[in-house]
Amino acid sequence: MNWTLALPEIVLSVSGLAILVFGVLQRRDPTQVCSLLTLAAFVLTGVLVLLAPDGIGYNSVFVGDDFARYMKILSLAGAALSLILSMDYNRREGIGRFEFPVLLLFSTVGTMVMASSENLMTLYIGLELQSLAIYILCAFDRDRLGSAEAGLKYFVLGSLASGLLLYGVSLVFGFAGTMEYRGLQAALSASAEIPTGLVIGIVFIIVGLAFKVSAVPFHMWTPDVYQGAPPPVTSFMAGAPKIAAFALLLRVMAGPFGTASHQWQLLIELISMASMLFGALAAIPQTSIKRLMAYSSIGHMGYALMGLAAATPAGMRGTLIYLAVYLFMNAGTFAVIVAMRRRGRPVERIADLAGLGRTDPGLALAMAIFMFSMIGVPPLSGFFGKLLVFSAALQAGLPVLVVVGIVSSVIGAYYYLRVVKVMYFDVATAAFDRPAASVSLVSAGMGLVTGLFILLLGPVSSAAQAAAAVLFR
Amino acid sequence: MGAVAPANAILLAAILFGLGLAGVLIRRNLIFMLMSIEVMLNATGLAFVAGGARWGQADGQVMFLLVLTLAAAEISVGLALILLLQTRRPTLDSDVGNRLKG
Repeated sequence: MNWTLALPEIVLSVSGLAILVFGVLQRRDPTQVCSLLTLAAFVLTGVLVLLAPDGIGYNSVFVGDDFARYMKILSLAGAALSLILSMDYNRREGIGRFEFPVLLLFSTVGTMVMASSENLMTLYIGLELQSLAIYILCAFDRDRLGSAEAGLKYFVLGSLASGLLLYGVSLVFGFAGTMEYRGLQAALSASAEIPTGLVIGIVFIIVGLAFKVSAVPFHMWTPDVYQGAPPPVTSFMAGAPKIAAFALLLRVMAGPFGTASHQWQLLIELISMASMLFGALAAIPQTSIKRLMAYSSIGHMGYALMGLAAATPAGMRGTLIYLAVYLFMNAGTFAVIVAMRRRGRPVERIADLAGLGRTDPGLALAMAIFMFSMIGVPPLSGFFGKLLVFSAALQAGLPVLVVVGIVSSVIGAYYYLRVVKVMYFDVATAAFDRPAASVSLVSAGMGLVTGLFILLLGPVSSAAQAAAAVLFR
Repeated sequence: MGAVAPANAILLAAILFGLGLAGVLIRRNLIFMLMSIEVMLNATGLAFVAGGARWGQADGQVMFLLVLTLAAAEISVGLALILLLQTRRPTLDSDVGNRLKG
């Protein structure tokens, strides 16, 4: 048996346990050391992921391929960025405990298992591992009522989603007799008529995963949880878990259920359209930047789903590139949100950004880059993401979807531009507290990645191309 | 010995799942919501066992064991979160004191 397939996951889990023991045994506050160790573990795992072999192992429940590698690198990057943001934020808020990086690490292990699933069993285990850690992370600022409430809200709706997904899995198993992706693919392409129970199962699985990526109409939890949870946790939730849920959606829909694409394509199309429109319209009246980002994330998930709705290799590649682009824009925006502090307290109204263009030009420039990129202004990264999914959807003969996408981009431009207007043209208020070097580093780094994405487009695009090709073997 | 037909077991699982789902959506007491989630998860466990019996495969029972342990883990996290909120505000009603709105 080829056990080296899961070496990155094994190394990451074992280092998580080791860091936990190390933290318990320390007499002085081990938070800083544990965070740095976790960061080192992320980097080590990233290297191992790149070196890991291809193939199917562990009694065909676990797969290593280009697709898994792409998704794992993205989720490790997202987790590492959120961890860097959390180090300073948690210290200043007085919630710095060494369990935080460990929980983040275990959640990341879950996302990696999800990306490598080759069996509906592995899918569920990875999903639960990832979610259980996030429920706790949301409530990490436990003395603040909002954080505890966010944790509980996410828990109730998240377990509801897991339950729906699990029921879908049980129906698929009951009607197809296997949970292996290859077995399902064979069973589905062999039978001319797909049993109704199986179709219902597929729908339940889509609904469960749509909850996790917060697509309309399963988005209700997103604004509340985003606002209540500590911002570094929110930046993590908007990144790695969504990427992992997308990894599952792409892998399951294109692989085993690929032959039944006419059954689910319309559903994904509707979800995508509703998410784009709702994300654009509901964000307009928001005054809190965190809630604004929640609605923006709902909208972005709609655009990313557009590539899946196309159900072609080009569409999948578009979705993969969109996810990478979104991950970096989002991490950068949250770095700016973490930097929004006055007199030692976090502030979160959009109006609090007033005059940032004069008080902190660097931070304002970074934020402006992220906002323009989210609109999709060339040559920033968001433009390429949108361009690829739009063109894939057009090629697949879904012009309505593209029109809805363009209309909602235009509506969305209004509230992104409002943030820019507040920063540069409103009367300046008191300056923010001096952000920590780590936070400035993330916002500047992500600003560079977003602004100069055109230089990265080649490598990212070829990696995404290879990853998408795996799905259509 | 009369064996239960898998089809009947799957039907029962569907009914139980529906009851659990309705419970989560209708009940406003957090403990009852937690119990309803448990009912949902156990219904899927039953569906897995029935599916395994139908196809003569051990996978269904393996999955049931996994669901059982994961449900326990999930409920322990949920109870901890409810306890945390309970110390901050003395009610179990999920609609009272809902501070995050919009």
